[in-house]
Amino acid sequence: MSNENTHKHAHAHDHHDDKPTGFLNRWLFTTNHKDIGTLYLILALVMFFVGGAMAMIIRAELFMPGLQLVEPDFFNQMTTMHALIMVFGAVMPAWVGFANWMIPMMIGAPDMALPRLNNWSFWILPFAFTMLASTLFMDSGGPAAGWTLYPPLSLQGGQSFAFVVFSIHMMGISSIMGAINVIATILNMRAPGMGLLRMPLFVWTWLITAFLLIAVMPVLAGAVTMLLTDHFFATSFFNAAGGGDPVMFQHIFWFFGHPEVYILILPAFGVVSEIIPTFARKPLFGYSAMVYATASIAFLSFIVWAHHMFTVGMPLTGELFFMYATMLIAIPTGVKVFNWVSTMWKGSMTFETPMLFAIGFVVLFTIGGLSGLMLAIASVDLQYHDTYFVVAHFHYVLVPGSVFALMAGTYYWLPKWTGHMYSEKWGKIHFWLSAISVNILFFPQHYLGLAGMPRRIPDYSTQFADFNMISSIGGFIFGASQLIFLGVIIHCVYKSRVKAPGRVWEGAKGLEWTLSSPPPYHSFNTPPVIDSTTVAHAEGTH
Amino acid sequence: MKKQNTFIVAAAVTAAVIAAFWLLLAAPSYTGNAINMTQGVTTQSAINYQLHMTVLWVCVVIGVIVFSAMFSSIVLHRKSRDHEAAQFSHSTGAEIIWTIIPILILVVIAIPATKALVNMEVAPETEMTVKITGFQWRWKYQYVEDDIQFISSLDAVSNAARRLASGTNPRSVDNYLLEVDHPLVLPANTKIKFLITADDVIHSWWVPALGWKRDAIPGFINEAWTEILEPGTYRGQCAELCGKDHGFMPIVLKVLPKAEYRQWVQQQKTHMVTQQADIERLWSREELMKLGENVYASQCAACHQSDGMGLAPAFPALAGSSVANGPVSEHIDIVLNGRDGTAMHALGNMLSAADIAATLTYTRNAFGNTSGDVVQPRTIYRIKNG
Amino acid sequence: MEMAGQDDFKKRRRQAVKTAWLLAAIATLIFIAFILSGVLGS
Repeated sequence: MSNENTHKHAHAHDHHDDKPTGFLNRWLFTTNHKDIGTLYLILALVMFFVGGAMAMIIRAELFMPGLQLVEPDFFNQMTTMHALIMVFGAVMPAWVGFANWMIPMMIGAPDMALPRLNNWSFWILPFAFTMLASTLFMDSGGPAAGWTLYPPLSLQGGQSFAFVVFSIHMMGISSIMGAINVIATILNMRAPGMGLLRMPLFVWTWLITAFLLIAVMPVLAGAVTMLLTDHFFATSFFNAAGGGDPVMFQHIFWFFGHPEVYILILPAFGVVSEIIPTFARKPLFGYSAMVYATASIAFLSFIVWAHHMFTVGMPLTGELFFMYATMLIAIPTGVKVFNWVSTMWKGSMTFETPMLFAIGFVVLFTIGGLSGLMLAIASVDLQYHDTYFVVAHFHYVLVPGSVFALMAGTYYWLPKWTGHMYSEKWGKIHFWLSAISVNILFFPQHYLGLAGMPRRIPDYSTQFADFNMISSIGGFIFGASQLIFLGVIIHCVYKSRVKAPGRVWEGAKGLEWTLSSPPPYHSFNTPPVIDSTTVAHAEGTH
Repeated sequence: MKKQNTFIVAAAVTAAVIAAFWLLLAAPSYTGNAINMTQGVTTQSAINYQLHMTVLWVCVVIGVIVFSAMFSSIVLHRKSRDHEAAQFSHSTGAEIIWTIIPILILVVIAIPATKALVNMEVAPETEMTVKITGFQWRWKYQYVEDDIQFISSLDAVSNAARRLASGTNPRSVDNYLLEVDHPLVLPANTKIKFLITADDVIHSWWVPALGWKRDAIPGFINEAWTEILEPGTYRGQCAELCGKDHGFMPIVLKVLPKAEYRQWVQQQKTHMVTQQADIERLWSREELMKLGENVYASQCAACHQSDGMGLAPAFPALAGSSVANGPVSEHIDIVLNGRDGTAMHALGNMLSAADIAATLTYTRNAFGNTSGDVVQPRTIYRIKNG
Repeated sequence: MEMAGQDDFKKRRRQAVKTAWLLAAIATLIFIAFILSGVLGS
């Protein structure tokens, strides 16, 4: 339809490499993959602190037994909003920001394939999150039924529920458009010689993630649409009183929800698979096994959803199927962990901040993965389910999992993005404070769950007091440590005077390092020449 | 050199923190706060405990192997020790081994896991049935064979102490948040079937000592079974988020030896006969107000507040309200049948006729309301039973 | 050399737009299928 225009646009910039002038032209109307990537990353960082502030309220209320700070209903709004904002506002947009910045540079393209769609994907989001956050100030309050929005409870929400559903629709549309762009870019815009099995692992994991997004975001949209009509238009999809089926919602939600958690973690696998070879000065071990393992994990994610629902009363055969399928995920995940360790093995390692976060990721994600294996055992899950053991499990895979990988990636590519080095000293302080406090925060939650503390409660029996206090202290330290992260980024962008070379890290391979730091506004106007010295994974090295 | 030492110290501290946490979990003798799953008092809970410990140890062993390999590599294969990087990038043998071994481990885990699940889900011939219904935010228990039923709510002491800034130290309350007014009384060494459902939203009935939880879902009846091997008191909580007071709907089981349990059943039956007589007699206004105040405190005050001022916007005030001061028939209808689309659910099947009559009388004559109406238990009983 | 690259990009972008419409159609179909499953299921 508008190829001519797109072409002219790209063409115009070919001859004038300068950035558009004026704030609106540069940012609001931008079609540049790097600027859009930056916008995504800023939004994600803001949301990370908003969601983090909510977590601080939660941990402060749980600091000791008894209610000291907030009413139970507000507490429920905090747990619900914390999850929605962290999942849809922080981690997902952050990964899309990385995809925007890195994919064109990694595959030798000038930009994303669909630059104006890219603009729209981003600019929907600030409006979606403003709308979501505004519900907290409405009469009927924010959503309080948990991010899973289970009916009939979610249907008891007031008028503000319509805003929640509409904002989820907007986030979904944004994600789908972003995913379409990623797939269209990777499949069509690779430089000559950049075969699929030469692509960096980060590009591979994002390609698979994008397919997951396209497959499941419409499912979430369908589920919340049905909730909306149940609430406001007297339908009875899920409303038991009208003959609906509340369990059907859970099936639909988790058919979305389980792939969704892999959407949050697969790009993390990709980033870590870039960083470890760089700092071990050694090629990634088992490149093709890594690709196939990622694809297997994505496939399995579609057939394990009901392991979130072992307590709803499924037939025995159903429970057995979902238990076995869930246990299978351990195999490709294990392959990944073993391959990372083998990549380090006999390398020549240095431990700059990105490597520290990547190692922290491998260790702590593995702990979260192992507790996931425990949760897969259906019979014992009837004890674990809906307790703090589950809270500990998914925070281990999401915080020192996804979030550590995001931080690792930020430290790894920040000099490339800005052209300046960040402060290695403060980066390391940030890492060690985060790595120690995140364990103080989440490890005791395993004990709480095993000892019988349900999740999503604002107050608890005194037998749970000690570990809640320890967990809260860990939470406060972790929260405060992230201000260092903010400081390091601001320093690197505005103050740092140490110029970064094109190849920032001694052992780094891949096309992005062949460009200057910061890279030109349009990454590769002429396709680069690909040979085994510029890419990390030349044929024959699988 | 100095840099390297700092790194090793920091890594050791982190590793020690994580390792200490794991060891704590594996040490069953730690006293004070419970940190591990209970072994419970049923065969199901014992099996689940065993399975949990087995898989936990498998995970610990895997973790130790993987992390030792990784940390020895971190110590040995570092540039600062002038270690040359090898350039190998795959090893088919190693990759096959570490695919096959996990598969074998999974099979070994799957066998006891399957057995445990079958034992959990396939109920034997049971001797009695209890129907459990979840409400926001209390449980109703019905003994199907003996025709006994009652509601179990958070006890008054915890309920007062748990208010925002109540001034009461939770540590001074016995079994804070884990005590109820009417515990579920059950016989030991008896195979019991539970029929579990809910009236409004999804709840989940969980007593860790029994070894399982089961969701209570409106429109569905879930089945579960148990055989409790030891008399005693066992506590649990609602496990599925069910609204603002989700954290305040505990479950208490009082398990009696069989003979004592039969005595308890007889007492309940006699009690019910007296109750019926009680419904039929004419109650005085003072009696109703006194009972009403108590029932209001335990059943209504969570939302409408003890001063009747409600909590805007979801929970309307009763003081000066058009319902509490309007026609009594409309007020009775709302209390018995609830109000659709709000948190006000039907209380007709939850509370006794006397409790409802007393609450109506109380709310119409308290908080400055002055209707002067006295609602008799038998009036409510007639309306409820056609 | 550079112009050849531009022609190549033009062709590839056209291909990318086709890929995008195909993926959008798939997403829409999935959405409709799940709504229909709800309608038919209730």
